[in-house]
Amino acid sequence: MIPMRRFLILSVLVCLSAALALAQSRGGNWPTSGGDAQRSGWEGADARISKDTVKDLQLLFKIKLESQSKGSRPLLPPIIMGRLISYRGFRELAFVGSNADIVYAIDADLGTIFWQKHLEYSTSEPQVTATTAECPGGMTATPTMSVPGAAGPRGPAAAPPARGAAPAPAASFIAGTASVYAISSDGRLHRLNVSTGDDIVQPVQVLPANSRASNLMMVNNIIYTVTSPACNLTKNAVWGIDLTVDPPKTTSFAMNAGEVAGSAGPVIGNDGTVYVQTSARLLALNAGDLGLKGYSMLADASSDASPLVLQYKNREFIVTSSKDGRIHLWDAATLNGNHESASYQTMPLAISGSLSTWQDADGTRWVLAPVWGRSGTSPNGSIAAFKVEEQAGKTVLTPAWVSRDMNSPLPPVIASGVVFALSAGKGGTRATLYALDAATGKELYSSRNLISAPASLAGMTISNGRVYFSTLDGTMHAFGMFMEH
Amino acid sequence: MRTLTSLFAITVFCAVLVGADWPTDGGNPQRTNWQRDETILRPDNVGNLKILWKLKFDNAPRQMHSLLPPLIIGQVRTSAGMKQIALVAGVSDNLYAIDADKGEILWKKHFEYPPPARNGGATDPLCPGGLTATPVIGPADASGARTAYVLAGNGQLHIINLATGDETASAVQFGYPNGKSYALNLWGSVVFTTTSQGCAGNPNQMWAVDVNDPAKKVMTFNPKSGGLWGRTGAAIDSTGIAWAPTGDGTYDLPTERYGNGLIGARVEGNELKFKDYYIPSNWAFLLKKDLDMQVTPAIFDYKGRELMVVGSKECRVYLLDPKSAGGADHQTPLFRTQQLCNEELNFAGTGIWGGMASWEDSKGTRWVLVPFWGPSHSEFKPPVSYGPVRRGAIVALKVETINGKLQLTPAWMSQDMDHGEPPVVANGVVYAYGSGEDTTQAYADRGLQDSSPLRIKASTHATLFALDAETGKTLYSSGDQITSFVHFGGLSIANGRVYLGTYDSVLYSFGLPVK
Repeated sequence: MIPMRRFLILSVLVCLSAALALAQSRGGNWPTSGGDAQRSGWEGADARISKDTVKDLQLLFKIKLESQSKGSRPLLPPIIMGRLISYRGFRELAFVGSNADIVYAIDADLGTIFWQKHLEYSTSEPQVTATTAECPGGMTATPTMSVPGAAGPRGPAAAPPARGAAPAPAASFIAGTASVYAISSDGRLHRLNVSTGDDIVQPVQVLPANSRASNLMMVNNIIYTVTSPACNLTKNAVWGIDLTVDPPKTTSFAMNAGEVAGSAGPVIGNDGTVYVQTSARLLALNAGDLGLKGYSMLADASSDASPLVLQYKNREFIVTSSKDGRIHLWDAATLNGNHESASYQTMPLAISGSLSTWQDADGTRWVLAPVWGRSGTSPNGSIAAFKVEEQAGKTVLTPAWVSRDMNSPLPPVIASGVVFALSAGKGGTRATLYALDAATGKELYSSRNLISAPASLAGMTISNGRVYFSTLDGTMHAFGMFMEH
Repeated sequence: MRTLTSLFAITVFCAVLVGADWPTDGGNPQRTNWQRDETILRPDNVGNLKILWKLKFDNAPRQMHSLLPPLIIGQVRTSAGMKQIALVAGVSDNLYAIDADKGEILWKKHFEYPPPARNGGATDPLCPGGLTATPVIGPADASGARTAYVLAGNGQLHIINLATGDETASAVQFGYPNGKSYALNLWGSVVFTTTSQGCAGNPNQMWAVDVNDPAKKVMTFNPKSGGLWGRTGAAIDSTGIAWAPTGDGTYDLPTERYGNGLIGARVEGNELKFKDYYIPSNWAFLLKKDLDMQVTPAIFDYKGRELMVVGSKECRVYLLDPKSAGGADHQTPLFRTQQLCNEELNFAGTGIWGGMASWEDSKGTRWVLVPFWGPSHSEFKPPVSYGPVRRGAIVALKVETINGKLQLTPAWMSQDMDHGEPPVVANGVVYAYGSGEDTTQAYADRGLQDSSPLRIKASTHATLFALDAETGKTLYSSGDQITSFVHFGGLSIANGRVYLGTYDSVLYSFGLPVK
């Protein structure tokens, strides 16, 4: 018989190992666009992916979902719940929003629809059906789940109840089990049951109808989003929806006239500060009340970018990109005042869209940028990698590598030292997924002709050995490592 | 008619005189659930089954557990003469010896011990604490006495004279308090059990102790999995290897982890040596979906070759060779069926649970009987069935050799029953029951909430069925005569009687009315 003391010690060690493994990854979840409060695009360690095995990547499934043929984002990038113990079994679910105001829960193992929920348009404001590139209509904001990892005035998100325990009483939009939050085109916030897709509580109006809302981010029981441009005359603003009160309380920070925010949505610093990139400023807002904490002037920022928050040598930096293709590095500590200038900026690179970041095992912090246009030997586009380094007492971005040629690449996602980049395709060309060695940029995998349409520009998701994206024909794709069913 | 009645009475008398036994859960160490010595109950008379007696015990259920399957010894010499004894254990550390003919208690024992420091959760059905392992009865000794081995909830193995209830030797520490042991098995003088679910913080492993060993050394093998929770513990093959499913967990050779599989270990010297294993090739998927390998295998002879069947919540049946389970890579069974049920891939309320059965008919056909919960799989279409199966059923498979390869060929699927439980088979009749248990562990509005009070409230009642073993046709149903449900109980059969204990601590004895 094993002595009890030895057994207990062994048990503790096993539990600690499991906890460490989970801590390095995300526990199998990708709860918001970009994966975390900083929208890093980095999954961390994924036991199913390595530089050696990624060559065996496969198209695991593709599924056509109902969407409207308008705009460049018919389907929004999935958010992932790694393990749901539902009344229908253990499930890994990918929640996908569609511009047809539908939220799908896709069984990520089987590639089948677990449930789908049409969010009925239900407000006195008539539904706008005419669309433009800037105001495509329909659901525009990637849904969110509760995102861990940032401090704030409301404390951490409520933990799920223990096995067999009754949930603690709380406001109706956060009490009980984990949920998916989505804002439909009528501006109402839905809290959806992850097992059924049913509204857990009556939806509430939180935004003007027919706005263009950016990807949602729920941190410390507050959902943040940005409306811009002024679709249906909705003001350009940052919004915070406080779920700790009934009904949820909406606060907004209006932008200056003519100022436009990127569509990728806000990011959250370690102390809960909300950062939003607009065409003119990098805004730092207080968590909760969205009071202006500080801002910095930007020179013609990218219209689609969200800022990026990264940690480097115990300091927090905000990274932004501008239309001229420069990457700007801001020291978060200096953003409390006004008009601070970037602590560093790169040479122009024709960067488009958001940035990504990850840290390797040696502690080197990397920034990855999608480049639309010539860079190095890549005539059409590429992924450019930078290292965050100290040079002469200054924090700078040092060019490290430029990938193979790609067409309109999306912001990449990273796991286990592998960068996944999607060449969206241009005109009639098809999208191509690449896996690159994150240290060198060397191509490790190409999907070649497995994808038959150009990619949606909504973004990519990576979780539990699978990379997700969608194409403009409303088809969701999942590439990953084969698992026998 | 009078002649027939007389013949029947003589048959009953002769059978009882010879005295068939059911000395262990599953009927034998191989866990075939086949009573080979039954002569009274037949396909042509089993339709007349009645409740001969029922007996309410003073055993308090713990969580959803109550009575374990009775063990039957046909001929026990007692101070009151020869008796057929049914030995029934109750989860609250009770042991009852019943005069099986009269339905009266001969003796009763209650195992007393200080409350263990560690318990399962307050409403957790997985870890009830108390006596959870069906006892086992050894062969008659030189004097004809029979010894029962009973594992109390404090982990002490008691050695008891079946005739008197007296302890004939000191108890042996054979596990941890509230460690949730499963049915004991006996091979020679070695008692085996398995533990699971880490109840009260205890390890999940296979256990063995040689009761003839003066040191009573406890031998274990730990596959580092979620738990060895085959309902009837380990099944033992002809070489003495004890086989047990490992529940869920990781399969990783470098760290010697054998989750989601089947392991075999044998006592050699005074060690329990790990001998072989089988891991389904889709184990990672099974782990992710919590589709445990949690069915005690059944081991049997097929045309002179020993074979083994095992299943899982995924609802496939694997045919294995105990000499090399899974072949060289330990992942290649002799045959794997399609999914019989659990199309939804749910971890609760569907799939194969508990154990299986196997028997051979007079023509030499070897049958495997598979119980399952939930709806049958839409693509599983056996040649004979009896209406849609929504809540559970029994499936019969034939072991066949086609083109030189072994396979399991579907023969029939029974009528629908509310959670089809492991059947027993005797004399051309399959006895099965729907447990009536509510097996809900997660809810649409709340998610996971595996709570005994909720499940007890939603449970109904068990129903006993007798099926024609050749065709699966229902020959008898107890309807609503049984008034409570069964959780992790089981059937026993011997000498014309079928026994089933229910949650309300009532033991039912079904048989033919004797005039």
